[in-house]
Amino acid sequence: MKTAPKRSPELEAGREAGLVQAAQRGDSAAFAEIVRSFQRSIYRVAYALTRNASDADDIAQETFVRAYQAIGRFRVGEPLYPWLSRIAVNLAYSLHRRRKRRPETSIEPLVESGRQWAVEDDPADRAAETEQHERLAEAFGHLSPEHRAVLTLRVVEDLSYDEIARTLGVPVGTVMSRLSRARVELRALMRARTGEGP
Amino acid sequence: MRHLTDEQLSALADGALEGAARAAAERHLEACDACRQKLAGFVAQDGALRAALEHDPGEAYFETFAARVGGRLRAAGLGGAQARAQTEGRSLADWFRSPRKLALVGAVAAVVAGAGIVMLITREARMPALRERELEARSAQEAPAGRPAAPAPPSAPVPAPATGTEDKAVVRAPETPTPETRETSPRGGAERGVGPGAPLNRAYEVRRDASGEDVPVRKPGGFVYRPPERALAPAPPGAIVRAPKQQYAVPLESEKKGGIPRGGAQPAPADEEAPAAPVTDVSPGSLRPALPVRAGTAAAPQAERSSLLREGMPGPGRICGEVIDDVGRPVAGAQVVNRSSGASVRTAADGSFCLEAGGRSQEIAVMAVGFEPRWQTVAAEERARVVLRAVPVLSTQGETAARAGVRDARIFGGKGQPRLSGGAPSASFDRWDTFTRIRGKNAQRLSALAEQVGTPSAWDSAAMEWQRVLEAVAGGPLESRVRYEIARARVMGWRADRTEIRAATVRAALDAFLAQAPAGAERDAARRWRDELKR
Repeated sequence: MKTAPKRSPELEAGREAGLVQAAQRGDSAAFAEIVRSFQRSIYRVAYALTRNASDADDIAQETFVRAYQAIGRFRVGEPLYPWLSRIAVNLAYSLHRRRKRRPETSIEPLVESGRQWAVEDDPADRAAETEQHERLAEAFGHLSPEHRAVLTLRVVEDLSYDEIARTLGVPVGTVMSRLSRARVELRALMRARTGEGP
Repeated sequence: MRHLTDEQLSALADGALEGAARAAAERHLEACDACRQKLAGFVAQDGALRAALEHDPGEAYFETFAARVGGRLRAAGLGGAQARAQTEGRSLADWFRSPRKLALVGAVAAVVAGAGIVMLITREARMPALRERELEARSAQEAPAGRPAAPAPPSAPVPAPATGTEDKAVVRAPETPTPETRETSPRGGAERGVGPGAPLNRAYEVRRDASGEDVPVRKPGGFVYRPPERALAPAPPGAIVRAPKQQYAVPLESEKKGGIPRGGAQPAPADEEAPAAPVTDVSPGSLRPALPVRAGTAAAPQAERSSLLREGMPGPGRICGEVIDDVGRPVAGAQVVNRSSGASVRTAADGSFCLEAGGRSQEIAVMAVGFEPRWQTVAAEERARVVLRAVPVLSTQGETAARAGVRDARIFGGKGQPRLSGGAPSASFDRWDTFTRIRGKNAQRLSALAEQVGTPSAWDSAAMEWQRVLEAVAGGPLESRVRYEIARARVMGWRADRTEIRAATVRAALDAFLAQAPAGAERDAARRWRDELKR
């Protein structure tokens, strides 16, 4: 019941433990290296969960701020990435809760800077693909935060079931069933949007 | 034939089925077209989802990411938190993050304040003379009763931040004249709530100078603004006396007229408490701008303490310069922090300073009570001239001030400033929580940075940060200002990279601003930008 992560490890295990120990002693250069090693992964998770560059940036930064605060309590030898992504996921949950309580008003649409610099190939193909992606991303946004998290960690971050279980603090069996429910729900949402039958 | 369940198919898609379960599932798949299609559907959906959720903010974003995290750590005053967590189990910041705990602290503080009022009222009736004495003693001591998380004695020398307990002192010492500190201060005064006596209704002790203006004087542990002649007065019992060489005062009018030397003179090297020598402790906590730097701070090994911001800026050197106000008078006791190296120093009586440079050119931050904070990039070999402006709370001046790189500071300049409220809606600050102000300052910093760098991505970062500020201030009197900042950042980004998609963003931002912008320079600027866009 495990998958080998396709994602390449950001740091070797020994190096990672060394950096954690140094950061725990207050070495901010070591912490900066941790930040640089994991910034992309954490940003990816944050973006996938929020689908908004501004929120993703906020969550990604805040993840490392929280990590810095709590690194003294981190057990050396444990893998760092699930811990960091757990912080990011929890921050995204909190943001989701806050937004539900206090829906935003009059926020103009953000242009995602990444898209601005994307290479334009065939405009027609690209438009169709973009439209499908937008629909999918929109449907994804309607999933519960738990389902979004589990799909993000699996699909975007390529984590194994074990790693996802550690990140979310749930049993592997729960990861398996959540993933399956999330996929089924997403498929149903997409069908409802494209008008296809069940 | 029993089909595979969704869970089995999902696990198969992930390659998470093993052994007999996998073999059985594969055997079924060979014979079942429906299950094969379903599995293919899951795999295709995953692939599309991966692409749909992918977003690359660009290399520039990640190049500066660690530095921005460092900035946020410093802004939140979280340096050394990890070590503290080891010794305490919980970090101080947890208390401020949790609304429940904050409410608890507030309730306790209210009870204490209430009890204090009752005691004072009852004692006043019986012993008025004693109360007078007590008030005097209190105003001298200024016990920080209003702060739930009272720090370690801030007047203690700042130690090398190698251990948790020492870090605690470094991080918590509220010596910073940042808006956050100022914000907490009035609360301290209010909660003491001891009648109309001016000294106790203030967050800090004030005295009236020759021009009839209230100027704050130093309180132990608070930020400092100390008229020089006060040092001559005998210290009240229990008061913490600062070493006489440490200048913290903006000279009074009378003294300025008396001709304090300034200008080309070399910075006073004799200021032992604010050494021009490099301060090697540059952990995020110690980088808080206004921590007084004392002899002995440099004990920590430099290699260990290299900061998040130091990267990419090697090489020794010195930055020297002077800090003057907008009419050319020297500002003594201003805190000058090299944001690259973390070195920090206070200006001498003639406004001069010298501090460690982390590279060829870097950003320094200059802060003094009663002035707007100022960020400026200076070259190591060049003598910097930093002009500070006196603090108005809010101004609607347009781009002129923006070019000077200071305009934004006044938005987030904080409350509790002792003067110059100028009739602007300063009340709006009260609605802001600390994190919003930190974010606001961050946005200003990014705008200032973008102004210097001028790249589209720098402006994008600024716009995004302002966008987050907008979430906090939407509906309030500052919404228009923040929308203006967003529009400005978008316009500048578009000017640097005139793509259609950027133009659309600018249009949206300008429309959002103009929809509710009051008449004034900003509105005019926005109109000009819109015309520029049409051309």
